[in-house]
Amino acid sequence: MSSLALKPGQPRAIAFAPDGVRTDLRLLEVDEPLLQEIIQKGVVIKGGEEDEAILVTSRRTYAMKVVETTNLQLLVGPQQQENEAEQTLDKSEDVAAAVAVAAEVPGYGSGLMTQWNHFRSASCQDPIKVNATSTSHIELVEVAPRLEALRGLLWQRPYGIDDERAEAERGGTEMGEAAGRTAAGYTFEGLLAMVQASPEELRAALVSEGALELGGCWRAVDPNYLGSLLELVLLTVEQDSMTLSALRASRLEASLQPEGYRPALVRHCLSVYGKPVVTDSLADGTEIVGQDLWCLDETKVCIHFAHKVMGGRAMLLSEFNVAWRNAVPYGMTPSLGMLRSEALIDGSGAEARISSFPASALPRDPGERFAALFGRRARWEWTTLEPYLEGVQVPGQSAEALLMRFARASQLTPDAPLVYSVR
Amino acid sequence: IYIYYLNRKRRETCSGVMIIPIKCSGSTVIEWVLVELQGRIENLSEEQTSEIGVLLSKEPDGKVLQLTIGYHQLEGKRVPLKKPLAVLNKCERLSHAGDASTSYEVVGVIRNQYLFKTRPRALISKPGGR
Repeated sequence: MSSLALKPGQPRAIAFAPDGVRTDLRLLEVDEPLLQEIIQKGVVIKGGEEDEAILVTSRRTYAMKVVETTNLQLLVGPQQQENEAEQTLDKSEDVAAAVAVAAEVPGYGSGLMTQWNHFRSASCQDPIKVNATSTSHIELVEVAPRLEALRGLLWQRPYGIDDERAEAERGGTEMGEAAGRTAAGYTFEGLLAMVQASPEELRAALVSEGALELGGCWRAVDPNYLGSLLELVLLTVEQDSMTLSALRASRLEASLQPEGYRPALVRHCLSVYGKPVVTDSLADGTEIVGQDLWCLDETKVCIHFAHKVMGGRAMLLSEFNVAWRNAVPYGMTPSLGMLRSEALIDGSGAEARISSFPASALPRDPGERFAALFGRRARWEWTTLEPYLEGVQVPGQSAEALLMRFARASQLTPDAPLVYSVR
Repeated sequence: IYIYYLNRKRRETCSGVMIIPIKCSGSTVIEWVLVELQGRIENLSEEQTSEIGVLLSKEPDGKVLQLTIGYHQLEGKRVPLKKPLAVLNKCERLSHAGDASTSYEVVGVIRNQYLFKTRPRALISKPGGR
């Protein structure tokens, strides 16, 4: 019942339910889509002992906040159906009371006689029963998923050279390994149970972390290992005269397997440094496993060589540019714009130096990210800063709001560009 | 061989996260109604009673209600809630293995409330009548 269904002019008593009044029911503020999802699929609350409780749907995560009220909330559940015929109006006094109530003029009703009539009339029927009371409800605030724990889990045992050697010694095939290997890494369900994120958010995070799935288990891949594999792929492409924009995964796997590289790793490399080529016959969301035609992403490949050339130290920009151009594959053109969230240039002119500073290695949490950024450089111009704030999401807060919260803007002169420093 | 990622923080494995489902048995949910009063009610009489008061709807649309509690009369209005409230019942289960599991069941949804927020009027008969 969406209303108390009171008949106008007919008083009803309201009373606590005789079979007990609950005080432990919880009220959760929802919107209609969320309510539908709860009814149809269900949602979960996740949290470790020290974490805030997080409500997770299939797509989003919400923080749960208890909001208290000083008001008294009486919760009226479904009432027994009133059986009109059972109303006992055989007492003439009750009849008179009912007549008097029906004849009342609206707005008039404070006299004692009126109240007595109301009471009399109301007591002929069962009272409306209050089944529960409450003094608080839970509000949901959409939050960014807590994904910091994910990195730790994926990096426990990254796939690298050792795994490959172990595989080669066992002489395992793709089938055999799924059966017999001691699985390193975590299943998707396992990760979902340990990370405060929705399935959709977790999937997106696994892609952005470049995680590898082998035999149903997810883990990170040693970047040095993956980089070497990429270079071998490029070499093979050149030797076999394949086109970078239309690579056949099956051909690459066949060429690289004798070198000891498993097909799954070759595919993973293609998915990290390239994109599947979608033909008309393929539906969206085709799994990587089935996909054969790939196109390497020029930016991602050039970024790989940029980091390789820099080698973890600062390098004279002029020297870097030359070395970088020589390092990238034939047919690809590097440009500094590709490194907008990968490297920083300090100084200017002949003394300008470039060094690695990949955004992917920085924390996702906004506060921690700003701390890392200001730790590296005290003052940032917006054009340099903006690429490092992409992917730092806080639902409901714009980039401007984050800037206001964590940074201080200043200008040397009214014409000079805005510079951000630590707040 | 080059250093690809700088200052990567390795976090310890988190010790497992509690998972508490919220679900609904059935494909529809029953509507409840919320009656909200400012303040608290107290039974000042000596007898044990569960009665709270008497409700009266004066207008045909049933949106304005009069609630008489003791000798106070309050006026309330039916308003739709900006966001519905799901009514959750906590269920604790003990499996045969001895593990305790908690879940919440949706037993109802509240979309409308009768909010009584006006100052209560005292109904005291004046001596000497009207």
